[in-house]
Amino acid sequence: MKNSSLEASQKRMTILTYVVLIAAALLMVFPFIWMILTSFKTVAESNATPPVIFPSAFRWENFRDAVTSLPFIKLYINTALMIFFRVICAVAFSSMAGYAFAMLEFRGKKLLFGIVLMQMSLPSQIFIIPQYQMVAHMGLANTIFALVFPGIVSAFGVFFLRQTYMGIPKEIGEAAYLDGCTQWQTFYKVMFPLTGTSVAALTIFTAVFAYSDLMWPLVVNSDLNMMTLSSGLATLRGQFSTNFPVLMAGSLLAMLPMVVLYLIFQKQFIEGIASTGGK
Amino acid sequence: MAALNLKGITKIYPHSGDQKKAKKKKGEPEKKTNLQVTDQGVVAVQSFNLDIADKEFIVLVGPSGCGKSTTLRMVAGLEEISGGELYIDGKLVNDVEPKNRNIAMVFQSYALYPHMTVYENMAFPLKLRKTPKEEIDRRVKEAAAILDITQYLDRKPKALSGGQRQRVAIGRAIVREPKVLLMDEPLSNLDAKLRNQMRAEIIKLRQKINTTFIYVTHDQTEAMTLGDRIVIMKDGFIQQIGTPQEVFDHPANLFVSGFIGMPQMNYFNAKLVNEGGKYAVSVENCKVVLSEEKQKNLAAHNAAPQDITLGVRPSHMVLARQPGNTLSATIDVSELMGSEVHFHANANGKDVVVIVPTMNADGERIDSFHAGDKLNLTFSGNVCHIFGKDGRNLEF
Amino acid sequence: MNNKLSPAARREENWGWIMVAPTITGLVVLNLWPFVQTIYTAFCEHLGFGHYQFVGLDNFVRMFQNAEFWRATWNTILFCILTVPVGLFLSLLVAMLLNAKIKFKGGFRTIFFLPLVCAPAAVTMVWRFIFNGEYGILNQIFGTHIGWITDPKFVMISCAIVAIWSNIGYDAVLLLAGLQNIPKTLYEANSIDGAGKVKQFFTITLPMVSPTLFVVMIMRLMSAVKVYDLIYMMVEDTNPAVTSVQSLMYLFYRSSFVAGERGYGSAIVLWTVLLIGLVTVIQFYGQKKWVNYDV
Repeated sequence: MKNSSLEASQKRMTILTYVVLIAAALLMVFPFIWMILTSFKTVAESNATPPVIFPSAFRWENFRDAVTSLPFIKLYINTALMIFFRVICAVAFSSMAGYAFAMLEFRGKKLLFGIVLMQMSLPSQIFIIPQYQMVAHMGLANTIFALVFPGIVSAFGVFFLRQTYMGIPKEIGEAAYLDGCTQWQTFYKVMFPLTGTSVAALTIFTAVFAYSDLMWPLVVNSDLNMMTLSSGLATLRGQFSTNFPVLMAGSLLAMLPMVVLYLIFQKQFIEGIASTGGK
Repeated sequence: MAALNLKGITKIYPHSGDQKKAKKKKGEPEKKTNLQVTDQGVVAVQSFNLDIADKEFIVLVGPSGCGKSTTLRMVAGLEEISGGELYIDGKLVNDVEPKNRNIAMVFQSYALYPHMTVYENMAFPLKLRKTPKEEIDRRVKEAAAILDITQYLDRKPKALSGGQRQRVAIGRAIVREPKVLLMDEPLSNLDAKLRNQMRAEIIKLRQKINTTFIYVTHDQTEAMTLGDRIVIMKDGFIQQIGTPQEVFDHPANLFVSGFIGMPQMNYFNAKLVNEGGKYAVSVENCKVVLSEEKQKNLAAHNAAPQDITLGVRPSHMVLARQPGNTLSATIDVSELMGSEVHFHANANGKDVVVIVPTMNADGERIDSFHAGDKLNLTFSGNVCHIFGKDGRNLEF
Repeated sequence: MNNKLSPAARREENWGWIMVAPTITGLVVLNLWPFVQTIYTAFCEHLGFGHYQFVGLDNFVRMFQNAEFWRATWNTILFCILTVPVGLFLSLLVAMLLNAKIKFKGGFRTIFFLPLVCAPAAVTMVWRFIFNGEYGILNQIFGTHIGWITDPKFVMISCAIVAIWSNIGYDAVLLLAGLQNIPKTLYEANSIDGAGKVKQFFTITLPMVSPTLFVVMIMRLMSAVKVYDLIYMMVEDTNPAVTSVQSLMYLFYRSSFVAGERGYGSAIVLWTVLLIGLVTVIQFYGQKKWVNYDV
């Protein structure tokens, strides 16, 4: 028994869904497309009325201008090093602490976990002035260390990995203990390898967060050669306030590495960041 | 190869610790237990005394929360022993680390390492002991052959069925050639068919490896078929220790009599009488003189005539042809099971289960009984059990 | 407890302490102590080079008498009002469309999620161009001459649009997960009862997705109260429209690190923490009252 009017209305519904989704998707990508198109235009083309949609030629000079006005290689390296050290620290320290909070009994556990929760519930800006003063006091402003500094430990990472460890059956740890593992071996050889998905999610989350962060790198590293991509771009904004093709070229260069990684590891990015959701 | 001595082993969970600990077995429904509570905490195991001989197969059995797993975990070294002494081969091991106790354990949930292959899982305990590579290889392959899992050595646990995982878990335990092999409900995650099969495998395994077994289960069939001796526990106390036959034939108390044996034993309110120096039991208008053995046992304890609970197993109930010195009952349900018939009957308001062969000794079929029919029941004096007011078997 | 720990329990305890030590040391040095310092600093005047003088409530008095501060507070609240409800509505819409039986679901998801992996510093550049009053494509399309990021009347709306655009994909992915958890049988039972699509949305979808929706809302509110980078990149502090869009955290940055008034800046941060506390209160009561948790 087929109800043709019902089928027709369902078909209309599906078409409507596609139309709305495609329109929304176009709105979402339009800024990116506009960015790419503009990055190849001349200033005259970008400022023309009525607007010129496509550049007359691929003007790579805009990218050259962006690279000569900002030390992009250094920004890439600085950003990569900052992300690398923050990820290593977050994963190593948070895994250890997450394991201990989830699996071990020790006095002071609740109090110490309270410190973790406190950090998570306060905005990072509340720590920024004293953190800056510490870095300045140590004479370490304008260094990679300064960029990494607030991210050496990750309260969120501890909280997130603790959840993961709590999901691992206790028997596996007991089996390892009976098999002859020390506490450290149980953690390192048996438990840690089981948290791969969560560690990947934390890695992506930490990397994207560090990459996007703006206030701290602006505050702590004023030397252009020690800036990150984000803070470096902020200075480009003032320099080329009307030369939009160069600004777009610079922004594209800053975005490119993360976007490429994202397009390669879409599934891990989306699911990883979504699984850390709520922060 | 080791003898174990458990002397007054006690486990108390302090009050301050969360109650969660007392019921650490996952999967088992949370049940209210009657564990003793003292000032120090909840007593999960109370003065557990047991001497286990070398290469003996001991089964700890009881309902959930009876302390059987806790006892096993104390032997393993996963739980601290609150009181008493644990000896392995005459050596006090209360404070010895599990890895130095020379024990191995098989968990209910298998607890295999998901990121390691079957081979790596089994080699892991040996690697930790810095066993030479060739020796590891030899022993893993030997154990794999015993358990018939050689073809799965390169697989990860995820790619195995429940029964195969269980074999790997056993394999990981036996590669270490432990003196004592502990098994915590190893079959309860398997389906019924596989469970029967694995039970037979464990019996075979026992013939192949020379070690002492301690096996925890809530399943009486496993207890009866596997154990040299079984230890029946309830609420942290040992109820009875004995061979399967002993606990079946001579249950020490009401609990044991009800726990062992399927279907459950029938109970009647009865009287113990002593007529001319002979003990007899009387239920309603049925009086049965007890066997010589029971006479002797009761006399040895100077048992006085009293009100008792009389227990008779369903298969020990007998159908009499004529009424007179019998119990009369009405059939509610009659189940033909092939070679035998199960009657669920009502005897003066009490439910009684009776199992009789489909064909009696004269070759006469008795499957002609139907619901509503009257039965005349009796039993012989050597298979009934006499329990006093406190539930204790008066023969003990 | 008076009984002594067994050797095994003591070993476990030692390992526990060792394994949390790096994290706890870090948190104490990087967060706990700075938190205390910030509270103290809020009652001090910064004399330069890290020297402070206690001035009591002066910073707070000055803050509460300052029109720019109240404007920043209002801007922050306005930013929440403009971005959160609209953002949630659009995200839920996108999530529902993605939850329908369609092809290229993954492709759409990838596109919507894209802004999240782009640093705000980079994506705001193109938005500045799109919104540009003289050359921007937006005015050209609509034939208007609005200074989207220079006119105090429009600058907040422009920033809100960018914020919503940035977060839609992320919120939609979270909400999609919530939608996918709704058992299909509920809809089947409902359509047998003859309910229409709209009624279905209000009787099933909305109540069932409300826990996720609530979590996303709280998360959005939290981050909206703390908004800084997006507005800073859209509207530099020399732009005359800055006071119309400047958030509390923007004001904090300018006071503390541009003007160097760290005591005053600390007072602003503490005020912001208070607003965040307000969101937490909403979260606490909302969880109990509004959300259907029996899923």
